[in-house]
Amino acid sequence: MSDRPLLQVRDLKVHFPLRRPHPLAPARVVRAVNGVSFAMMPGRTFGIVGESGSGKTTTALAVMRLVAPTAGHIELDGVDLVPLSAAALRPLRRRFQMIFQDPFSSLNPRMTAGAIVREPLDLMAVGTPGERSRRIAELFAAVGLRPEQQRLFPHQFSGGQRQRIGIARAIATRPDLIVCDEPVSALDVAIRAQILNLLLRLQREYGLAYLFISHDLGVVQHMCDDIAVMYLGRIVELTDRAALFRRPLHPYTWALLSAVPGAAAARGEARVRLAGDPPSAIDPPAGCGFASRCPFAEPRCRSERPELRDVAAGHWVACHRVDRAGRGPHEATPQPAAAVPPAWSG
Amino acid sequence: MNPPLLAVEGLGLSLRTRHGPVAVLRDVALRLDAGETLGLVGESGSGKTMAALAIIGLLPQPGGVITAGSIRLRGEELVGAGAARLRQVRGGEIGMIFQEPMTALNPLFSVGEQVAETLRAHEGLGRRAARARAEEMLRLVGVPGRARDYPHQLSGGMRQRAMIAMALACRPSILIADEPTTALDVTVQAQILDLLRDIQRRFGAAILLITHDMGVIREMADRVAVMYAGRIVEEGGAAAVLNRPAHPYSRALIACIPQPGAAGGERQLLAEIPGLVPPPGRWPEGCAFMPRCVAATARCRTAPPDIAAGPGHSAACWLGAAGAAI
Repeated sequence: MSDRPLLQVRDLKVHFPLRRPHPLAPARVVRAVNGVSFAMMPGRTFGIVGESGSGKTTTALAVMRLVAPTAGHIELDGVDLVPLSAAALRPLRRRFQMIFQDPFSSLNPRMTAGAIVREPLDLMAVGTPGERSRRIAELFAAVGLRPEQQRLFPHQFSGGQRQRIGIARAIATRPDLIVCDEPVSALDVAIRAQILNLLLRLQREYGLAYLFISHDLGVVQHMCDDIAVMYLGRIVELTDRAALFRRPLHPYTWALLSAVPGAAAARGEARVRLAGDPPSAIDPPAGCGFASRCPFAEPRCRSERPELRDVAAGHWVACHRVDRAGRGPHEATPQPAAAVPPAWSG
Repeated sequence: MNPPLLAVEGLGLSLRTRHGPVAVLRDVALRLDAGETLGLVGESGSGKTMAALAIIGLLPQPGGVITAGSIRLRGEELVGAGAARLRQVRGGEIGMIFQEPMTALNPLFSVGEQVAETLRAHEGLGRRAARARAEEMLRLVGVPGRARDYPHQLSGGMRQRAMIAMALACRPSILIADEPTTALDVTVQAQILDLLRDIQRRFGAAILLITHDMGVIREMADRVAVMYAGRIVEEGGAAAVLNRPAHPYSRALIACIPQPGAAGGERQLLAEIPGLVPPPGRWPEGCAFMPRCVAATARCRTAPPDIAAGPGHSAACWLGAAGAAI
């Protein structure tokens, strides 16, 4: 594995202007993604977790260039995708593909499963037509579908099988990166396990990197190597899986983990509850986006935005209340830096 | 001895389709005692929502027919009860909360009006009295001062609270909650679950909680019933069923869920249940889980007996207690 990131996102912003109710009304803008930076290594899974409106899906769509970034850079192997025209982007498309949440609406109902999987190969002129047909047979086998199912239409498949078709289409061009936007949220629990296992097997076999978007912390913990927690258009905490789940530092991450039903009870911890809903991404607050719900907020949190800073090796957090020793405000018992568990520091 | 608050026995339900009547519930038995929470779990198509609709007498029309069994509310038979009596029961003695509050609330009326409407219909309150009670109910569920707001002006969590206020307006003894938090974000879900627990403590209502989320069950339920293909395949105390599931289906269902809060370590594949839940009409004879079961034998082709897996804990499986070793 190389040390160079496969994907580097720098200060990404995606703003959507709202229609004015009347011509003299002030212009209003939804700041869906408001300054997001992260790097992804090849062959690894980078998770973005957050609640509705956190900007996680918009970040994924911007990486795919399915929405236009307002500002920032998205570099794939050092090439910035943001300034590229659609035509210039097309040859690069084969390197990054996407799996969508809803396997019912993301497949063309008028195309056979075989044609759906073949389409990207034709569009990007990968191999000769004969090679493409062989490749499709190979892909169907790889995702656990039978060869004769190529002739069927999407409505003849179950939800899990449709997601397999979407996965076969996404890996058709042998991409390095697959953006997975809530790939199992629409599926029943037993089918979820089948699809998650398929994604893990394909990753091992083809060395794929996944940008994995999910609101389900159990799924994120199961799938991801590194995890960014988003809130109101920004990353509030970013670290590897073990550190995030063992010792979340941002009070939002801490509350989020505690809110998972059954999790606090399983860990023998008291539950933490957040009041209210996240604020609107239209005119977000000046300071920390989480200050309005944070039990530890001080006046500074409402006026001054905390930057994402590294408080330990590979552990980044955007919170004024995380102290110099890297203690989160919710960690009541003081802990000398030397006593930090070894697994956490790496 | 007093009859149980709610007792469902041998309930069968069939729906009319193009291919003739199809059974969607088979021999369903449930008991709900005052003040307790019974979790009903299963995958889509297992019949959990149908069971709830049958209890409140809202069968899909046309074509939904109860083919067998009884549903007794404090000993009173509801199967075959008149439409007027069932209307009294719904929203009166049994309150309901649905998954998607946006579709269950009427977009044309303010939430205060909708709660007040329930009170006027069931308790015959006058306009002003109903209005005042509605405002009080909304305050109680954490939506103070929003009675004049329309559903679209409220967030998802607030709407679910408004629906809970509506369900509770007539102080029901049973609350049926069908996936009440599935559409909500996790921090809001936690608030709603807290609210349900708080309400139960205050009003002593029994809750029939329908969900596919084992975490929600672990947090909320006293007892659990696991459904598969229109049948209850396992029933028992929540801790017993979740920690020592006796039916191979319950075991597989619990094993295939990624566990939040588990320690780190290398990523491993999840346990899988091969295949799909068969749709109604294609349920195999005998044990419906047999084609997907790792422990199936020839005798599974005949209907399995209920076996005791512990005190108050039973499973419908031929394996008996020996199955726990799988």
